[in-house]
Amino acid sequence: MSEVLIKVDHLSKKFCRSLKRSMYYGVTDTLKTMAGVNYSTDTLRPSEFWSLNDISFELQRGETLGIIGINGSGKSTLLRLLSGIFPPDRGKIEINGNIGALIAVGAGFHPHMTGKQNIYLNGTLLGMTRKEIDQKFDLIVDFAELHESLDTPVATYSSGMKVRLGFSIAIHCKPDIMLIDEVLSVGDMGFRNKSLRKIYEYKKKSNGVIFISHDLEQIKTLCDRLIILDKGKILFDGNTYEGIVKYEDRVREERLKKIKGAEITNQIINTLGKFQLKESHGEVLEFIDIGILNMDSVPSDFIGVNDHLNYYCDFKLKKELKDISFSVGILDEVYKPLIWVMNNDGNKEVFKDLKPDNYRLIVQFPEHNLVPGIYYPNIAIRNGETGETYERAWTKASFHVRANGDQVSRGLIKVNENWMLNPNSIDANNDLVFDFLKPGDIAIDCGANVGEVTAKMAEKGATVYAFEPNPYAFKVLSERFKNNENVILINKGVWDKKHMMPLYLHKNSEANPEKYSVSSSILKHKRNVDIDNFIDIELIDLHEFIMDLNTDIAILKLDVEGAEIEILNKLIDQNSISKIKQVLVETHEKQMPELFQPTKNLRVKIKEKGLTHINLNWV
Amino acid sequence: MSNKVIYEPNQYAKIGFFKTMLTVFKNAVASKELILQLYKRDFLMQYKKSFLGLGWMIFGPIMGIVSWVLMDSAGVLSPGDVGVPYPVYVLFGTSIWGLFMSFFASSSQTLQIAAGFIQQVNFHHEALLFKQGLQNLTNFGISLIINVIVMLSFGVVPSWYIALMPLLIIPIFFLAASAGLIISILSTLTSDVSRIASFFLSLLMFITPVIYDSTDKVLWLRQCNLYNPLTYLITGPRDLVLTGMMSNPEYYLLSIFMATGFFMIALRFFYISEKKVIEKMI
Repeated sequence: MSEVLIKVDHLSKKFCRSLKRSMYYGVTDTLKTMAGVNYSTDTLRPSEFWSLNDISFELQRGETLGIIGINGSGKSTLLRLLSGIFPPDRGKIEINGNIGALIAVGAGFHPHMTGKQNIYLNGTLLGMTRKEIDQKFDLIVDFAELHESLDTPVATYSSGMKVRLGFSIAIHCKPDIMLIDEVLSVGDMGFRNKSLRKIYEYKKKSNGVIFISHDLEQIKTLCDRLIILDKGKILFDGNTYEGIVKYEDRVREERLKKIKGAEITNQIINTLGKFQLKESHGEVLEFIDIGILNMDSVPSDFIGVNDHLNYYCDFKLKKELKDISFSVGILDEVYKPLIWVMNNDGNKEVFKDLKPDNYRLIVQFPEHNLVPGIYYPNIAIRNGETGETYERAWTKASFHVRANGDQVSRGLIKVNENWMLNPNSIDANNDLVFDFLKPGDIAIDCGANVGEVTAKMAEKGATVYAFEPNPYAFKVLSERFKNNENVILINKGVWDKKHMMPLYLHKNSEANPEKYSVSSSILKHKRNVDIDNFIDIELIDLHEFIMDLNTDIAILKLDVEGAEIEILNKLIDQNSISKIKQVLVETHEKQMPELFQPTKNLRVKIKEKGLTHINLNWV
Repeated sequence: MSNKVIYEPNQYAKIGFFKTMLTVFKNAVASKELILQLYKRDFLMQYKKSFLGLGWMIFGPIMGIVSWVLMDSAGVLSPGDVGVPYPVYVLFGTSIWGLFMSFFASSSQTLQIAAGFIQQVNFHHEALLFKQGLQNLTNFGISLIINVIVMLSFGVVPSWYIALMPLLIIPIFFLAASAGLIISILSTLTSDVSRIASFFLSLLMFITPVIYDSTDKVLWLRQCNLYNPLTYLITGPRDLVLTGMMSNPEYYLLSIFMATGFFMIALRFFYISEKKVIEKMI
């Protein structure tokens, strides 16, 4: 049920910069009004400017709209227009329902009146009737946590108490549409949390909320939609997350302009332009230019977050130099070196026997891993043989790494991470999972190792097929179950096809082959295996094995160091999985990041097919 | 139940004159709780930080009486024959004049008294005017009681017309508020206005026969008295209460008519302009 609560149509509002002119306009406009002369407000007179210029948007029922803007963008003016405090100069506002505005908490508070008296005063001012205030009085006091201070004058309250009281009164007005201007940034964390919960309640009751804040995290959490105001115009109206990224970029662009503005000014004063030298030895070499190149190899002020970073420095070498050493850094806004490299670290790239000439040094970073932000290149050039420093400079040649649309700037470096959340699995020692087994049931233990799980399965009298390819582990298994007719041991591995494969042993397996047998794997890229230490093993096709058994299987346990993904995919695709009552799998994406995506895909597949008998979180 | 509200440029000027009066009246009635709360806030709190507290409401008029009685007994004033003991005449007359002045002073502060929150909350600003008036009335009510005591102690029995005082005050309020509302609007723009207005109003006291009788004064003063509506609005009730008679009741009625007319015009002006000047209140 969508309904438009607020419709703003080509709204504009102007103000006057000059105080004297403002007075003059005010008096002349008022005298015209007295004389009954109509005058229009839709053009700008000298010294006037549009604080809001041609704003149009709608607020739907149940929507929480965030409004952010660089200071002076007109946000508070917009709130006042929506509240009816200021009249518009152009355009129209339509409001369906009553509006409550939290523009400044505690409006009308008299310092000599008690908290209780002020509740009645402020509540009435905000539009509540006496009866309403009587009914909500206790709720207001509870929320504000001011039971003891109710009968003392508000002048004795701390600023936090005043805010709590003012906010509590306003929030209990329960208007259809709530306008909130920055007031959630006050109070201690407990109170802020309470206030956020209250705002959330509003959302759920499908009222409308307009929320102005500088706290981008709050906006991201609470708002369904975001409008960015810039110098009185709407810069963006859409998805909250995209808006935040765009906003951060815009703020950085403004900052960069200011910094560049300062740099240009510095250029006039400082003949070395972008360079702010720390140390210089001009006889051997001299800086000319520094900065970054864009993807077209042209000096630029910005690159994208996924672009290569091509750092360059032009300098003039005046004398012959046998060996040159460069120390190149990229600093963040607080001058912390995030990237710092030298060409002669471990002889990465040596430059020898240089003749006097103009040179361009380029240092290319195919993956710079910088988050969107403003950075400064800096450099030192030294004699590679003697270590003498010829030129060393901090620079103000700042550049901007721009977001590519979905990269919020957080932290110092850009990473690609995987998120996993699993409930703490049933302990392998918890026998309940095997409780339902009875004599005559079939159980399969793949990756039996030394037989801990096999033993539990066999305890219940089930017939257990235990697969273990590692010879050292198999030896232990054989000893353990030599007298048990129900346990059938197979010295082979399992996979999705019949194959001979090397089994890579754990790095430490020479020291203690049995202990480390559990970590051996057919997957070469498992981190803790030694790829030069392997045994050839035979693998069977588990799907075929199950089909050959031609009977229902009570439990299948898979702990096969990474091979489980392919095996399960085959069992699901060929539908042998339906023959198994319960499948317990230990996955290995934590140890092998390459498996992360395949494991994730498998989880999705299992969920989509509704295969609830497969437990991928078993340990 | 949702109510639709529209905000557009110059919208308040678009509604008719008499509709404005109706709207103001409806708004004032709707705001009666607010008027009461603001009244309590400002009235009770004005004496909060003093030892005498509300005692000042009585002490103030008493000090006034004392100064007039002293000056009369010292022969400083030569007001002429006013028909009743002079202290009674001057006290009551100046009380009514004082009411007019206080109505004017408070109504010219209509928007200013809410400076702290008028830009933060939207409410019917008409409430502020009536709340101001209510404060003045309360003060007058107390001084009226003291006046009656003084009258009785001088052997003057007030006529039954004293019961009509509440009605007789209304035109005084209208005239004072019409000037006050205009001043309030203009004062948000420039502070020159209120200073000029105060000056003119103090002159006004001289051309209103409050502390003197008009009869044997110079011509230009008598002419001023004659054409000054305040003359009738103030002396009318005074004479009615003190002597039971009013000279020139027809001029009194005309003055009421003028005062009401001015008030409606001022109200209309206030209603159209106030939103526009509020944004200039910094």
